[in-house]
Amino acid sequence: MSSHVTDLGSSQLAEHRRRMLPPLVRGLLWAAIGFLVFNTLVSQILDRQPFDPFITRPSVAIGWAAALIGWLLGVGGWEVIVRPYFGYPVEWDVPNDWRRYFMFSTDHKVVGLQYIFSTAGSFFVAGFAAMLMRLELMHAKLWVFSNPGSYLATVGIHGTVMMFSVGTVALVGGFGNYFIPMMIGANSSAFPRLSGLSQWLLPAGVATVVLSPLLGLWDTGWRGYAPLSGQDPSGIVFYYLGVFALTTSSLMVSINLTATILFKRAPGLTWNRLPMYAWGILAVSLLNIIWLPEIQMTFVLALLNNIVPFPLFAEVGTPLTYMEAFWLFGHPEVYIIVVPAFALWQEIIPVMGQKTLFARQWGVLGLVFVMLFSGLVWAHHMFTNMRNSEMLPFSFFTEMISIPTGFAYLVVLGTLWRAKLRLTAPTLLVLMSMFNFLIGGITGVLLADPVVNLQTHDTFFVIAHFHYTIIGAMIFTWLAVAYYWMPRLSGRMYNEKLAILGAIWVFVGFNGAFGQMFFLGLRGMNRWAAAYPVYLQSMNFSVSMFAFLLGLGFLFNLLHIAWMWNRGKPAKKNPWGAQTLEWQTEAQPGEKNFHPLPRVETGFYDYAADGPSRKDE
Amino acid sequence: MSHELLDHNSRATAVGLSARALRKNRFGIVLFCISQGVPYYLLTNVRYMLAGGEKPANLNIWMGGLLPALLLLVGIVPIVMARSSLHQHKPARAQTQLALTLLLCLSALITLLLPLWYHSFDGMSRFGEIDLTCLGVASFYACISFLVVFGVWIRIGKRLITAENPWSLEAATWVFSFNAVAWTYLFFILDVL
Repeated sequence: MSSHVTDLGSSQLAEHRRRMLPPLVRGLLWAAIGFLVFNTLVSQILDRQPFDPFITRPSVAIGWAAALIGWLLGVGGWEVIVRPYFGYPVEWDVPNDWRRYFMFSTDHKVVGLQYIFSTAGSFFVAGFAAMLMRLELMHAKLWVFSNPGSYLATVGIHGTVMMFSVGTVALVGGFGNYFIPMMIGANSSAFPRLSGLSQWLLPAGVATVVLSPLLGLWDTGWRGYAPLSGQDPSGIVFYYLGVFALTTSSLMVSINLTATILFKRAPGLTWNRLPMYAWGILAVSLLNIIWLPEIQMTFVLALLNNIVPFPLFAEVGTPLTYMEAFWLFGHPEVYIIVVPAFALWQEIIPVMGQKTLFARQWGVLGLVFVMLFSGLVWAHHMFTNMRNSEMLPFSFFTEMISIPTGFAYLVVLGTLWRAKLRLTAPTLLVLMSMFNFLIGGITGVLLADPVVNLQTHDTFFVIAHFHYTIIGAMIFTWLAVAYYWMPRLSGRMYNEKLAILGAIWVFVGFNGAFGQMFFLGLRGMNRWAAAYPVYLQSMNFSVSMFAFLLGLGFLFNLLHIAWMWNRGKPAKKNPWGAQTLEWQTEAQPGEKNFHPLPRVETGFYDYAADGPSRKDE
Repeated sequence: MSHELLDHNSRATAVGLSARALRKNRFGIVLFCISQGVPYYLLTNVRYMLAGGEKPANLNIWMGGLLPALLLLVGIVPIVMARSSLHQHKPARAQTQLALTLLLCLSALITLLLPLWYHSFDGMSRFGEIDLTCLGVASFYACISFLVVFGVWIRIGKRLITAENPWSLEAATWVFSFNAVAWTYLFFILDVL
């Protein structure tokens, strides 16, 4: 039994555990009680409305807030945060088995795995929504959904869950929480309770978004455009609230990981020696700390439109203000998603090639300048609403951002040059990820040009472009690191042939589906439309077939990883011959990473005596 | 330089946290304040985009304006003094000073909530919608400040915060001061400039 957060003896803990419901069940119970009490209070007493409905927009918002607090306290916040804050002994027993993943934990490895499981679950929920969309689009007329609204709500749920609980989270909250403290030679993150709390916001947010259609179908997509959203039924309220929980989770992770990297580094781990992944997390955390509160406030304003109601953004000209506020966050969001992927390319390739990372400093500069430029390009999403003269600076900066992005490429290409590369599944997936992002990047430069942008606006060309950058780059890298770090996470090795088959499978499915979408868009297929002209049906049918192939491919990879997690061959301690610190410890969840703390004396990417990093030491 | 380091270390040791842990905590709270400053930046933009520089003739600059700003700003003084009292091992006095901050915060909250409840401007008007939104945001943050300081007040009473371990009080001071300054800024943007 690992009781790393307790002030009590083992007999008292056993008694406490007998008394208590399983934390997850208790969290759900307290959430239900919180919702019922506060929803009833508002809808039946404080703010009664005509015809006396039990659920109103204000009541559901207040009830949701109470449910969220009940949930967080129920899963363990009460014992780990509230009671100790007021001086009561910590009564929180974390069993050293599977149950620790279903309760509040302050161990960064447990929190990391909880995030990984949550994001994987979210990915398949949102992926299922995508499959429904593609099923619908196999025919030119409605045939799966009963009305266009339900199709649009499915598109919205797909986009929201993918962006806020997979893209923003998977490489930061998941692998970041698990590996960053290890990679910098620390035993914990900077603020462990904050970290534990942040994880439990994620399932709450996902559940809120997925359950939103119960209150009515909303059709604004993940952008939640106001004042359009003011016309939606009450489901839109749950959209805004769900995203609020998800973004709060990511904000907490970012504050925690930034402080961890700055203050928990092992002795000798200078900035020149900091792992590339830590640099990536640092860059993306700074983006999160600035832009997530910005979108939260924007969504609060749109929420007020729905629950007070206000006419914010409804006057002539002001809808543009909402769009500006949304895309101020919306474009940095793309880099929030892909910057950790860039860093992980630079983490994996030197290891797999056993070759010194080429021009490491330029790689770091690339990550930092992508972060800085990402705040200057938002209005290229709004070219249809602008004068020609206003487009120029945004067009310019959008093309400029390809330069620091190119640094990430050149660093990896320089490392690949004459390397004796092991063509393992992680290597292959990184190369595929780079290929996909190249396509996404080149089409991004095209879209930065107003002439192309105006012609292809709101077509499937744009969908193909951003799926190449997000799924193509980030999700493929996510799979790459899942295989790369699997021996460290589970102590077991995956099956190389099956993993390579899985990689090729998703690569073919992905390029078959989204590659065709470029042409589909150029032929006139619009976004946000469940029905379309018949001449586009055969191509849509073909896209759907490849999309199903892609979905099955992801499922195959998941099953393979899940099977090998328990049944794979025992892995060596450091099977890839990596030099970063996470491979220098065999600590499992519930155990200290390092005892004593390591002292770092060289960089982690020096595989040759005359490597450039070596000269820096 | 070594003398400064030594001095800093000895002070940090006296307060129960290592110098590095104290810096880490301060850094964390600064990041929190920076992140929470962004919504105020957005509200500034939204105020000018939606309502321009409009200020209605019947604008009451006191209620929901200068009065809560003054109350919150004055509230910073006793909370800072409480920190000093705690360093002098006088927790009872620190608690009294925090009670004064709480009283000022509660008064500020009332002067924000009253105009929010009896709003003089139509919520459907250009100035009315942004005025009520800003008052709501300020009330929310004032509630958070009140709860944070109230928690610290209880903990000092239980002697959980002491001269050797005063970090919670310092964190509460940061949060309270941030809220006071942020509302004062928003008040100037909304009602004065």
